[in-house]
Amino acid sequence: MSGGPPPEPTPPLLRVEGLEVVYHTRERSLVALSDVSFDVRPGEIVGVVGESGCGKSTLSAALMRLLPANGEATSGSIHMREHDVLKLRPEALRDMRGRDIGMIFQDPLTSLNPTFSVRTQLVDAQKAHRSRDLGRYSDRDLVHRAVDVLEQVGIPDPAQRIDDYPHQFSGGMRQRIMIAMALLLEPALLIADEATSALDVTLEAQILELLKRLRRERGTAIIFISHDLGVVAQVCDRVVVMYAGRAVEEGDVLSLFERPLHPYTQALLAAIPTRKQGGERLATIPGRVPSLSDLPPGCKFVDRCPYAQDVNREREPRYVAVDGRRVRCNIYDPDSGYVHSSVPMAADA
Amino acid sequence: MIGRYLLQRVAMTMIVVLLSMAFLGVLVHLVPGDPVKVILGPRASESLSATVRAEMDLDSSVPRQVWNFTVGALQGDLGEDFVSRLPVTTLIGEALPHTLVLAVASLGLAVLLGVPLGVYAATRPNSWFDRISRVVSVSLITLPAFVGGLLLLLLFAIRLDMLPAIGAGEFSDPVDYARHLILPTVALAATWIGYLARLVRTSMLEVLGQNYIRTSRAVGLRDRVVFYKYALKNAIIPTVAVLGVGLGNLMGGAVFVEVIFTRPGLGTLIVDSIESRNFPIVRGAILVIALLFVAANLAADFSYRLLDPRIRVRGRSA
Amino acid sequence: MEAPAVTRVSRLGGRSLPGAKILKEVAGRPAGLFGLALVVFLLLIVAFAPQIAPYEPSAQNITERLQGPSGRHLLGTDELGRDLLSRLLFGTRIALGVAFPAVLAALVAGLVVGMIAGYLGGRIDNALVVVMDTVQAFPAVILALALLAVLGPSLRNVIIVIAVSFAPGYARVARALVLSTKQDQFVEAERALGAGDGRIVGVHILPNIIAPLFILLAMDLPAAITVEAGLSFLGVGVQPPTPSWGVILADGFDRVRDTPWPVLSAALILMLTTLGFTMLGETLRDVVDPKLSGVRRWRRG
Repeated sequence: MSGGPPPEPTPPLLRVEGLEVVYHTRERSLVALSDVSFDVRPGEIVGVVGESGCGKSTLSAALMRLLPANGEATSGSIHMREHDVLKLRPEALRDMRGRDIGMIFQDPLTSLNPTFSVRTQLVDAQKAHRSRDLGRYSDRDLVHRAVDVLEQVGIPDPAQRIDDYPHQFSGGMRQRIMIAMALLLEPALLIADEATSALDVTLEAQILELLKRLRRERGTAIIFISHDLGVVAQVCDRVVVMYAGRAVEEGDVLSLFERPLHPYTQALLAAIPTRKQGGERLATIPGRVPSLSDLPPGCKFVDRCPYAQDVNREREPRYVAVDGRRVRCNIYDPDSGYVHSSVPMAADA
Repeated sequence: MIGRYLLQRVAMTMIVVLLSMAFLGVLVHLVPGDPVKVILGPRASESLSATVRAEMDLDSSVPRQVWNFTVGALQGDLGEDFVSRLPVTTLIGEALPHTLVLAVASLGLAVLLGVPLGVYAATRPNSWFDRISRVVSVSLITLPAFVGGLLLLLLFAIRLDMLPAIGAGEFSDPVDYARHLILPTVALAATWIGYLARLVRTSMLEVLGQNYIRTSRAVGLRDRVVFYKYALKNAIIPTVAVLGVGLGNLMGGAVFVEVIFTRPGLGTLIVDSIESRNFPIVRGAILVIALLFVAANLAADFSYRLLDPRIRVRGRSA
Repeated sequence: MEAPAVTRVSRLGGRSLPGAKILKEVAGRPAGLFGLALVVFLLLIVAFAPQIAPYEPSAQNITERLQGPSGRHLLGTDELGRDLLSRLLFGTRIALGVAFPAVLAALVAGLVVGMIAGYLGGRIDNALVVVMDTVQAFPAVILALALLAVLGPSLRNVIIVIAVSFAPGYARVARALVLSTKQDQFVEAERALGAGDGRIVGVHILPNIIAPLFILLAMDLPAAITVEAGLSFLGVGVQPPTPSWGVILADGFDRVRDTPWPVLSAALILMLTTLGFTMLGETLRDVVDPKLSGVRRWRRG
């Protein structure tokens, strides 16, 4: 180890701590997210992966307080720079949306207003933030900025096409327009919520390239939400794995993929078809994701985990630090009461 | 652009118009028995019967009669009434403006009150405002124009003596005319205020659940802009489509309101003519109303299409 | 779409009647309960009017004319001394006795026309659509006036006229449903098995399109009641002395400066009736509509 005090780590741009989100229905309240914690540093691309229903969408909605009317963040905090998003007053919240945190949605075909031209939508997005530094631009400047960004995202002939309506663009183009709308406001953090899931492989590759360029050229941090591990591996620096509303593993992408700790992560990676498997049965994870209304009291993965022990049914595992990563699994928690046998597990390999 | 659809609709409308004329031309013959007796009733005098025979062309064959009536109608000749021998078009021309003013005023009032009510209720779903306005809307819907008219007449014109109960006033005196217009307009508009408020509310709520509204919020647009610009424009489209039908129902209600408030207009004309068995007036007035209705529907259909860019601009698709 | 079932649409035996379930669902909602209660109340009046009404609706008593509510006449009397309450109670029979048959006739007529148009298609379809459009070019009341001018005012004619005005609505819906059902795979499957037109229409198409039409009927009832009252009010519908609410309103209107009670009470009962049927109809639609596809799937076995 070299001498001297360790260098100050860069303060995180976004710090989520112990986030809990609940949906209230007429009969009961469902816990959609529980004790979710992670950081995003400036210029970092963090992937959030999990199957459908694991809470990824709830998380992205919660980050900007865009939960539906019956959703509520009941505990925890979301610190964007120094402000807790959950405690912002309405006007400050509205101002932050788009300007500090931007979002790109999954479905480009329905995410743009059909009755307004692209120009109107892009200009209005900027006008909403005039109270901050965008106020120094005149209306015409805003249009020029919009045309510029459209060009940057790869819309051909942007000066002409800016007056067109969304339905006059293909799905891939509309996704780019959405990205352009997000970029216009120059947010420090961009949330891509399944932004490429609806696109074909070529388009997806282009969009991914665009995102990487964003990080390179503008230092934009990105939260990349996806169910596709392959894509995540290409783009992200770090990954958070989610299951049943909990963060179960987190770490830098290389070590997570090489040496997954949580049994769920291991199973997910094993399920990715590779060329080597040709002719064999595809691996699947037995069982299914527990429904939110029927969660077991202990570890949520217990019914599908090959290493399950009784102690896992009693108490929810803690989110512990292991080798610069974090895992929510009793196997790695020395205080959990988990009994390690002599049989080596994949985790120890 | 809208070209092909427009042509089709107009062609269809022309056919409907012609058929309507034919229908009215043949109306008298739909009933078994001597048409003259049908028109005049059993106690018809000889001379009047002869007048009717000649006027209605009853000696010609039925197809010929229909043809004559239709051709005449297309040229603006709707016949003459039995008693005063005045051209029906003249009588209608005198009565029509009053009915049109009433219809437009009512529709205008309904839109002016109903739409904002619906929009505001949608911005605060399940609030006390929303609940109350929903109850009010339903109540208004079940208040048909003529019942509302009677009650208003009872209360404001008779009990409280605040507003006139009879007549329409003169065009030359706009203020007086307006005073005479108030109660009938409110009576006629009431049902539609309730109906529009509900329609707009439902439409707005549906729009507010759409992904593009989520995008608007995510980008930081103010609530006011999201509701009254981005959501409303989409929500208003189905409402416009309904307004065309609305004018037709309004015409139906106008008949009652005119009778109750003794206003001159097509409604009074029709009812009086039915009573006095003055058939050409009945036939002509009804034709005019049908034409207005058809025109209103056509207009509504086109404005609906103009409002929605997805239909309007058939230009380049990437 | 799930795989078409080749089994026949089963007769109802064995399964619980969907009607009972729907009724329970409707009664569970406040609007539906209110509507249901009101409608049942009205039906009871219709059935037991002679027993409930204190007087004969046509019994005149000139000495007691144009009185307000009193001990002897709970709602007062009209210009001929007839008891208002009794007339209103019997008026319920007129109102429902016209509205129900009229809308039912409209449904049947519209169903037949719509099915012919939808199933046969081509020129016949085009012609029928144009005819329906022409009928719908006249607002209901206006068309009613035109027809009544020729047919003459009477209760029977009012039923006919309302039926004619409302029929195109049913024809449109029926036609649209037939067109969409016609394309369904199970119909093609049946045809491939050699089923004739009659069988296809009667057994497969008909049950699936009946339900929405009845919802439409429930929602048209209040309109029909209102139209009848309106036409009678104008003097071109039911004729006095038959105690249609419209007639009572008209008589009351003539004498409204002497006593407002006929107008007020007739207006009130008309509004309550309309409200009850509207609530019932709308709740019925809300309950059945989303489940309608469920009914269809069930029907296909």
